Amino acid sequence: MGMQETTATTAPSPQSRRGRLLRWLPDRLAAEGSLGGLLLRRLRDGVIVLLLVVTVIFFLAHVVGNPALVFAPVDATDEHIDKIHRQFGLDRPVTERYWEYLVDLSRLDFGESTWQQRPAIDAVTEALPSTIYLTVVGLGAAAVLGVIPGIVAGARARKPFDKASNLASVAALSVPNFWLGLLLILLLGVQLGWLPTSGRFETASIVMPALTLGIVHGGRIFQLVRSATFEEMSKPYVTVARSKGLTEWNILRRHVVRNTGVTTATIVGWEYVRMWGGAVFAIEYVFAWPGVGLLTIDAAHRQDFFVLQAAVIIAGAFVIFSNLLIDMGYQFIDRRIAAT
Amino acid sequence: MSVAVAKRTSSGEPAPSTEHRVWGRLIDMLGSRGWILLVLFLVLLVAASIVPDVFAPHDHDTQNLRARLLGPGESSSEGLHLLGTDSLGRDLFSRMVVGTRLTLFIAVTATLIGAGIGVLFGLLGGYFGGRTDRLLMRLGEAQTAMPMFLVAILLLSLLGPSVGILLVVLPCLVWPIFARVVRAEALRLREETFIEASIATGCSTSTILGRHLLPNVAPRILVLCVVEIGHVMLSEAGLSFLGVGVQPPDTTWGLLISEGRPLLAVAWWLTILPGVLLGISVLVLNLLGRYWEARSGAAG
Amino acid sequence: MSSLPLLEVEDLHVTFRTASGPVHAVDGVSFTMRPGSSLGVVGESGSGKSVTARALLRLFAITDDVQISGAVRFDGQDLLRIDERRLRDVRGGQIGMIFQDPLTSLNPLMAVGEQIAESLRLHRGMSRSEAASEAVELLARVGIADPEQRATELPSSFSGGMRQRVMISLAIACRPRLLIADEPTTALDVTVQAEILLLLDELRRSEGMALMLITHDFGVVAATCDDVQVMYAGKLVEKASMAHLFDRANHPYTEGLLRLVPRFEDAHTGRLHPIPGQPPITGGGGSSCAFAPRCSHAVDRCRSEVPPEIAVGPEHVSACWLAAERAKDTTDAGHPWRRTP
Repeated sequence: MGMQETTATTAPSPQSRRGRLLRWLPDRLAAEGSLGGLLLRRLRDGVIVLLLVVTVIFFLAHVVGNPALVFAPVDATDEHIDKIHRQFGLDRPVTERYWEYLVDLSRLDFGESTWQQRPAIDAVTEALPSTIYLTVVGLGAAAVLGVIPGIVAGARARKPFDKASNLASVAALSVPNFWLGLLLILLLGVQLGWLPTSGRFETASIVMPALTLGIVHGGRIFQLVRSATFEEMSKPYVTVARSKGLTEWNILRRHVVRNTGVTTATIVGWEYVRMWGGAVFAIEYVFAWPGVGLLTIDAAHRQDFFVLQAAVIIAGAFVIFSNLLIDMGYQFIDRRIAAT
Repeated sequence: MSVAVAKRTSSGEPAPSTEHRVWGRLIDMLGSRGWILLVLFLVLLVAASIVPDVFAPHDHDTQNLRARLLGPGESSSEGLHLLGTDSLGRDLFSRMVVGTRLTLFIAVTATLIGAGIGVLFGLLGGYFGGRTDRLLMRLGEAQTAMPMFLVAILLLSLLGPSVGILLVVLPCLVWPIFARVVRAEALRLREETFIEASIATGCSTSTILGRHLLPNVAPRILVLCVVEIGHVMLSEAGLSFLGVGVQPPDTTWGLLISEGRPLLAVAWWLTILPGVLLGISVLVLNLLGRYWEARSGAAG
Repeated sequence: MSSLPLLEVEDLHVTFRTASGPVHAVDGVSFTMRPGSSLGVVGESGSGKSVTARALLRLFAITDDVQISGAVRFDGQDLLRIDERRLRDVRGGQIGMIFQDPLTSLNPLMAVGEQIAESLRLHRGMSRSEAASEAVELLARVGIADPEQRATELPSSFSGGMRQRVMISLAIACRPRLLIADEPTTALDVTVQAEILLLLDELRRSEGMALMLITHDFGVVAATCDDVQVMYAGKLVEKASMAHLFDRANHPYTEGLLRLVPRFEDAHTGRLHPIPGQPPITGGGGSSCAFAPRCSHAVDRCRSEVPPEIAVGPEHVSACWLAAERAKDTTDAGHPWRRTP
């Protein structure tokens, strides 16, 4: 999907370097290089991001649209909508409602699902483990499909395997991920009948959606790992290792992989966050995998605003949290290595 | 440090330049004349979206119940159906030709809007620096931190799916990329001596940004646009596939895939072929963008 | 002193195929080295001297599209024709190599002792512990204090000079018969340079290795080598013994290079004598002397025919059309690096 990365805030702008602006405590701590400070700052940034999203949602629902219509189920009558209007106190000023909205959210009260007749958060927390399961298995598949060929292609650059795997990775990234899922269903499910193609009813159900995720994200991991390995292979110490009489395989195993290890681990870690940016949800829909993506899309079709909102916010919080963990883990390892 | 980690931003990803090498190999494989093929393909797409009737052998909307679900290459009383027909006997190839217009229109327009916002924000960040810069950058960061695809579904469902709303939602997904490039260039330019010289001779900052910065980043922005059009195509296809994007009777390639999905087991071509066309288009745009980048040295 | 040659390079050509056409980096180089001798290869960057050294062991990057022809006979076998497996036995086992940049030549994430031991286990079949203790001895041998402790440290805790010492210990670990040092002191401080050169010279004598020293700096060669050969644009332009060359440099290019060495007499004028012009980017292929465009002595013949190697004295050849007449003119320049035999 077209979701992309953004830039750093870590690089101090000239202004902040001059110290003209009052810096927040986390900024100062992070600038001093303490891990705790960095963690605090990233937490704060995460909360700001969530707040921003929540505000946009509120603004769209309450200011741009008619909230009563938004909250009502698809088949609501006029009478029903009037009732909702009273029930939610929608005649009160927007600022008051906004505050109330924030208070509700902070209590994890995301409203009542109009479609499932239960708290929206329940529907989401029920679906979340399925998505986490799928993303973790999918990441495993992506790592296997991306890292090993990436190392081999990088080490044997410009050889047939490198060319072929480059082409494959580029193809995997150029086709729509949901289409890739459909293609796999056609080949492995319909034609060969090897694997279940929808739902989550048996252990093997995970294979196809995870494989699809694995191919899409493995393509990216492949490209990054290949570049990292290639770069490492052109370093002088590799020539030295060759001049010692080591075989290419031993050079790769004993020297190169050791040096690209941290890079590879982080590449895979970031890919996990990327997975939540899009692919997994469409793939859930394709395979009817009962996760947050399927829930969200069903909720969208049924105009169930509260479930939609809960899904976005909870999934968002999850992504922010895992992103933070990965960053911290990376920083930790990096500093350990720098220290030795 | 010893570990050659492509230095990553606080919540971004490894420096994108690492990716180029893979593309570089492919571009080499294309040879020196390969770009002509790429451009030819795009010219065909554009032509098909301007004058679809020239390319479409059949009327895309004419139902023919006696020619339902014909496979690729089969013929009906209407003549040959190169890529087969759908469950209402409509010619798939003609529908793909007709879908080209909206597919391209949405992708190009959304990318241009996104590029405009990104360039503006990047300039503002680079121009004002400090708090404005950090605010804008944090806004961009929100894009990575959030599952934007879910946000897009929420927005489209709140506002009602339509082409117009897609043109609001899709640019939101791409602007940070453009903002980052422009901002980085602005920050870099500030350090350059000729900028200092311009300041010394009394040029205003906005003149400097307009006269020096934009010409400097223009080639990169154009390359990015070409590549991002492909990515936006994929995003649009995804949203349309999920039913929150383009709505029938309008049609795009993504919607065609979605329409074919229930018939996957009986008429694979309805799902697979539009996806192939979409995939090839994205690949061509990517290759052309990187080819251009490699040739013009716009990589910066 | 004529024993069987240790290394015999014959008509070596190395061509890189690049996107912008073939580059003849080494263009018909021939020379021999006796066991235990020391040879300096001098030239500007791009003269093909490093490529020559790498070609001996076929040490090129995987992405280099390189073509090597000729013969490199080492100890009876042609290194260009033996298979990978036997070549690997020679690499590190028979021929050790030291590279220019000690900062990047060691694996940053592997203890230096381990990097030395790797070679020992491979070529000398030592066990892990034998190799580890031998590595410590080697570190001591190249003058690293507290070697036991240092062997366990990563290269990042060593200074540039110390790292080059580690590199040397690594290269001599398996007692090679030939040590190739490619600009071993270029990246180092002047004072450290001298120490490293002394160490190399001392090791050569004590271990009985032959030493091939590649450098752009005549001063370095003067301090270490018995024989010199000068390369220009992929060709050898002059070969001689060190003492002989300083006294009777024949080729105009050699003369120019020697003038580049800052001399004590010039110190008060602060004047250097650069050779005008730039060396050609690709060597070879031409039908003229490659140096002719920069040569103040060039005559018509220099621009129309490639000069052959002409003997101008005992074990002294010069690839110059004017070699014979120049040989008569040369007078003792009384160079400060002139060594007493």
